[in-house]
Amino acid sequence: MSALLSAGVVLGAMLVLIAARVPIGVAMFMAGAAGYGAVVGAAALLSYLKGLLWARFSVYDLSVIPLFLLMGQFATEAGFSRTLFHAANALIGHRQGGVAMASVTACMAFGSICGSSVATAATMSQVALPEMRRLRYSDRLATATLAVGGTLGILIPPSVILIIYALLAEQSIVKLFAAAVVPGLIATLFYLVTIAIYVRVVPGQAVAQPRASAAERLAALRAAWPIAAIFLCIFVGIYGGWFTATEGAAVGAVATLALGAARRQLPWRRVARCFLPAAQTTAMILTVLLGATMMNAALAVSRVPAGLAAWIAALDVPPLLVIGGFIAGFILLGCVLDELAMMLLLLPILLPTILALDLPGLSVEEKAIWFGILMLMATGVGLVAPPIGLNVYVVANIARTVPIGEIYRGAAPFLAADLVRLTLLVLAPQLTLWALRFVR
Amino acid sequence: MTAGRLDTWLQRLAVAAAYLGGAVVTGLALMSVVSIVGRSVLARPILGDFELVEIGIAVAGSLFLPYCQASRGHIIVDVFTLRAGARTVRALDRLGALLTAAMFLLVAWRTLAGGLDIARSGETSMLMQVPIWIGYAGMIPGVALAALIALAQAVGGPSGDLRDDR
Repeated sequence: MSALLSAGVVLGAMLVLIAARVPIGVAMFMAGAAGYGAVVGAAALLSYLKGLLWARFSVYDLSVIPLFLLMGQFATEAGFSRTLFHAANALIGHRQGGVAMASVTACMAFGSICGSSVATAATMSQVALPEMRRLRYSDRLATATLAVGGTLGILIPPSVILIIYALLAEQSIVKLFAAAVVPGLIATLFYLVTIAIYVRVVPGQAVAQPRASAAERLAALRAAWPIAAIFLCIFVGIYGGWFTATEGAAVGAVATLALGAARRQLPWRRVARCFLPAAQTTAMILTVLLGATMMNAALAVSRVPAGLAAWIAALDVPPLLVIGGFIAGFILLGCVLDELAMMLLLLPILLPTILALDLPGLSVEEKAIWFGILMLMATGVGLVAPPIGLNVYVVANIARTVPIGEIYRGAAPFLAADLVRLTLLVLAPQLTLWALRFVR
Repeated sequence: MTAGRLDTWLQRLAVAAAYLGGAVVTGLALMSVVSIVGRSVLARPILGDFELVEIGIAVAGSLFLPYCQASRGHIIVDVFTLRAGARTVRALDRLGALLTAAMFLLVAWRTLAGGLDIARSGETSMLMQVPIWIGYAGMIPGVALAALIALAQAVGGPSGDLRDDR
């Protein structure tokens, strides 16, 4: 009982600190350290801390984070979003709502070399928004498309959120990336269908433009293929077992840099500028990982997560309902809390319950991977759902004249598509797990 | 030396540390590429390159911490303080910086103690025989600098912020 009480106090203290603008990693660390010390003693805490930093930082897989971040920065600075958008636009831009569809497709392609939704939304908006405005697409459709399309930056691997999940849940990054492929493609497809329905149901949202000539299409594709080649090289390499995830990220970063330099789009001044944002985000992630590790240790000695798992198992609720409930709660909480923070806070408490669920035909590893993908999807919803959808703010910031509410209204049909996709993925785990057979 | 000049120096150090960490990561990336080419084309793997990656990422990661601190790059939740006055927010941010300084100081101190233990035991990495205490020692400067910057933000001048120059 005293352990349960101390876990309650620790979690309460952490939430108070977080509400008081204390950085989340620090709040988790300080509350966790106090709780750990209270249960096992100050001497044991000091001894535990001796090896904590090394244990948390000297992790081989951690190196994929700065490498993929750098690759995304290089791709952004080199203007690859423009190349990808022009290629997609040349292929499908003439359809009704086609430029919006091209934006989503280009977001997917950019997401395959960039692991951040905010970066994808920002860089794609700078290219696609002026084009959609020039063609008199409604602001509502144009901005919502880009806010939603930006989430493909994390839904399509590589994905920073998935890497953090892999590190926390001790799962293979490569397998999580593979599992994310089909759900990411489904997301893209659903967004395209949503746009097609939207422009037919609501008139005056998008005006058709003439079809690009064969020569224009060929030129646009020729400019885009090396980017696709980088993506293919990384993922065939890591899924086929030729590279580790780190090596894939290293190859990707070096190849992206080389391509940008070869096209004279990445002068040295810009290359240098890529390092600081990558350093900042890496350190932010490392700090929350450090805090989450300390908090996990405190919760583990209190045995609360194991207790919760046993309690929920004893309730005899259908497992799919438990999962659905977790995801629904995750989405609701995501309306007020930062998604990454929420995942870090909830994962140590929820994961033991998920792994203990009786889901016929799924191994423990498959459950962990499947739940990771579901959590990723829920994160994507939180990025465009009111009141604080980060991507919506990013796009609004670039569009300047479009009110936030207008973007949220435009995003509503896409959110409906998200919910359909989430339901589909909950009911059919094989959609997610199917791709694992290709991982060596 | 005035507080303003101290801030400037800390910021310069933070940026320098971030670039140094970036150089380490670049080195790791190039080594990985060489390693892939070595084992697939020349059938000559670099034995134990993953050990260097582990040490390198630990050191690089710690070198990124000061810049993140100086540019206030950590995630915070601000929905509960949206209606609070500017003075309250500033006071809370000083408290947050103080706690951050305490955390990094505690971690730096214990890592130093842990590193000394490891150095005495003479533990090395498996394949390359690199002494592990080097990794511990490499992490301490970054963490300590991050603690100093957080302390400066808690007690010092109003900003302590670095501007992202984009």
